[in-house]
Amino acid sequence: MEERGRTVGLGSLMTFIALALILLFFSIFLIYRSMVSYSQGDLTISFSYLIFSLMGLILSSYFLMHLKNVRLITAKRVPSVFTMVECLQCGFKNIRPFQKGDYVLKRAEGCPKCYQSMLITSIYAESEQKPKAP
Amino acid sequence: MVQSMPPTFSGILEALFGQIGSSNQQGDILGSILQFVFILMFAITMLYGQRIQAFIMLRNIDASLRRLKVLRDNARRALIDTIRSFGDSGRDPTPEVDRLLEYFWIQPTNLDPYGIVAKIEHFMNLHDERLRAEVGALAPKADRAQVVNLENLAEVGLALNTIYRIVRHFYIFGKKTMSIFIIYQLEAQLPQIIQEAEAYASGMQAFQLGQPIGDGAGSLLAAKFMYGAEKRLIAKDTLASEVSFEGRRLIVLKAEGPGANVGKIGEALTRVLEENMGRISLVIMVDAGMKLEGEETGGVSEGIGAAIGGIGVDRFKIEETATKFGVPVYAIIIKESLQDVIAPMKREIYAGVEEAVNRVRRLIRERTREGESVVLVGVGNTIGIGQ
Repeated sequence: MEERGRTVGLGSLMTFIALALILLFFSIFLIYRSMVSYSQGDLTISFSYLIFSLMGLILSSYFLMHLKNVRLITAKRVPSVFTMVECLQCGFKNIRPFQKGDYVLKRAEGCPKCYQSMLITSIYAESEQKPKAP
Repeated sequence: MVQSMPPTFSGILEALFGQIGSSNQQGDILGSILQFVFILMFAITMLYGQRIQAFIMLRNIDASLRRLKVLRDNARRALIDTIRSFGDSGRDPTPEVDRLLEYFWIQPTNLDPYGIVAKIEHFMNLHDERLRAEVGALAPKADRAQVVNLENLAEVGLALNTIYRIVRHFYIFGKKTMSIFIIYQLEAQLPQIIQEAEAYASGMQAFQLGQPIGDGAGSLLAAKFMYGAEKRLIAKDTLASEVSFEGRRLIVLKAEGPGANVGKIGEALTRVLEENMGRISLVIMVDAGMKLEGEETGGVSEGIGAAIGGIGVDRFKIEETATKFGVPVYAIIIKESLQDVIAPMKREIYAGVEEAVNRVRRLIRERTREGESVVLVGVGNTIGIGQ
């Protein structure tokens, strides 16, 4: 079964994105400061800025990757249900949307070909397309 | 002063901590701020790390709790609207529905386990009868099948309400105590809880409209075998029918549809075996079973044993009677996920039922001889499936 993920409100989601972006830009700024310090010959300071910037990049990428598992609270999609009616006399088959009162092995409407009473042989829901397991 | 040597570990530490308290001639303000932030983060993590972790986990639990509340509220609304459509016009069933959603039954104590199955059965029957009576009183215009469907819809609402209340209890308790162990245990179980709740929620449409659900796979198979034959009521909400299959006498058992009945399969099979004084060559039970991740929906497996779910009362009776008469019990399972079981039946499950029909035929041909008697039991909720 696919991962459903966590649900959050819109405000929390925007705050989450804003924090991640601020951290990302600050990390890029630190990379710049690291390059400036390196060009000035201060290797140790440059390296420490680089460590901080890497930490920031890892943290912001973690937040942004985490976002793909977050979704807003939404209504669940209702599956479409269909009824298959068959004529046992002439073999005619028809698939139509489910109507309240339908049940499997119920006598249904007349066959358009031979006018005999048809039988409901199956009632099923159309499933969503899911990625195949490896 | 230009440093020409490559950075070393001691040099990095010097850079991170060496500037504190000394004149900051070589470093800049940004470096000092970063050093301060680093030390502050270290101190905070040491002292408050567990509380921060608890806070993050509580936020995750809160998001899941809001999802559970949405599912519970949807079920409550669906139950109120459906009852209203079958009830007296002008009467608001909301207070009664809220009362139904708080229903409970207390399991008998197992301090002395002897005779506990009969006790569990008694109280379960009581629970079912009372719930059905309450729902029937609220929906006087509903026919027998619709009352049973409403009863199942009420059970879905009850289950979702109970799940929501329990998760909320542990969430608030964890928040009050900030105990990392309580919060961690709750968060660890949440994926399974959400999966179970969404499985219940997916069944609402089916119970409202009377559509077949995945759990009805066994009942559907039995209905195919008993279609056109004479049926008799052998136990509460359970039908039996006798058909002929390639010279064998085939007794088919199934819950009475198209209402959302599960029947009393244990009692029915016991009665059949006793009526025939154990002269049954084979019992084949067909039911929906849980698939593992990576398996296809509608896959079919065979095995041995009483393929029936529930609390265990029916399974106990079947196992006891089969053992008493020495009757082999074979099981055929049509695999589905937890969500598929209560959701409207998928096309893949229909294909699985067709495959299971072939397996039943093969088993009867291979394991029995002409003139012998076989019992075929279709287990499952028979909503939307007639006979």
